[in-house]
Amino acid sequence: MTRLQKRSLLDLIISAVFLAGLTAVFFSGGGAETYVQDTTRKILVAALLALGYILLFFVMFLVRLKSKDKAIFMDERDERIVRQAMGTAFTVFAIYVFLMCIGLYEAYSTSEVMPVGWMWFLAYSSGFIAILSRAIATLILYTRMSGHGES
Amino acid sequence: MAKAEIKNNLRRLRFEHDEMTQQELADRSQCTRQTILALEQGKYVPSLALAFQIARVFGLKIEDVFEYQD
Repeated sequence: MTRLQKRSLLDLIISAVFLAGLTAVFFSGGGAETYVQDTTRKILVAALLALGYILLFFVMFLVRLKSKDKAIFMDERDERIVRQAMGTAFTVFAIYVFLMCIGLYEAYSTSEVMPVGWMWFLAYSSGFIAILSRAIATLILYTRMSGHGES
Repeated sequence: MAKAEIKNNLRRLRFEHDEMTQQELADRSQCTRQTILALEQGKYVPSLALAFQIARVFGLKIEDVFEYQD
C-alpha cells in the first residue's frame, strides 16, 4: 500500500465517521428548525468539526508524501490518480450542493421561509463530502491502476 | 477512434538483466515499485518521459521496450 493509499484510507474513515456524527447531532432534537437556538448541539457539532479537521491535518502530517532522504513516494502515476480523484471530488461536491439546494427549495417553496440551520449544515457537510469522495475516488483509481505481485 | 494498447516487455527485460528486481528498476527510472508492477500488468500506460527513462535503464530504444498495438 502506497503512502497516498494509506492517507486516503485514513481520510475516508475520519471523514465518514465525522460526517455521520455531524449529521446525527444536527438531526437530533428537532433538526434544522431548532438548531440555531440549541446551544448544546451547536457546541457539540463545533467540537466534532474541530476534532475532525484536526485529525485530518494530523493524518496529512503523519503520512507525508515527501521525504528528506529523497525516497520516491509519489510518481507520475500517483499524480495522475490525485488529479483524477480531485476532479471526481469536485463533481461529487457540485452535485451534492445542487441536490441539497434543489431539495431545500422544493421542501420549503410553499412556506417561503427556510430555517437558516440548513445553510450551516450544507456548508459543513459539503466539506466532509468533498474529502470523503476524494478519498474513495483515490482508492478506486488505485485498484484500477495497480496490481499485486512480486517485489 | 479505436482503442490502442501499449504492451511492454519489462518482465522479460528485467530477468535478462541479472534478474533485476522491480524496486531496482523503479529506483533507476525514478518511479515507485507499484508503478513498475502496474506497467507489467498492463494496468498503466507510462508518460513518454518515463518510457524513455525505463528504456535507458535497459540500454535499449523505446520501441524495444514498449510496443504500440492497434
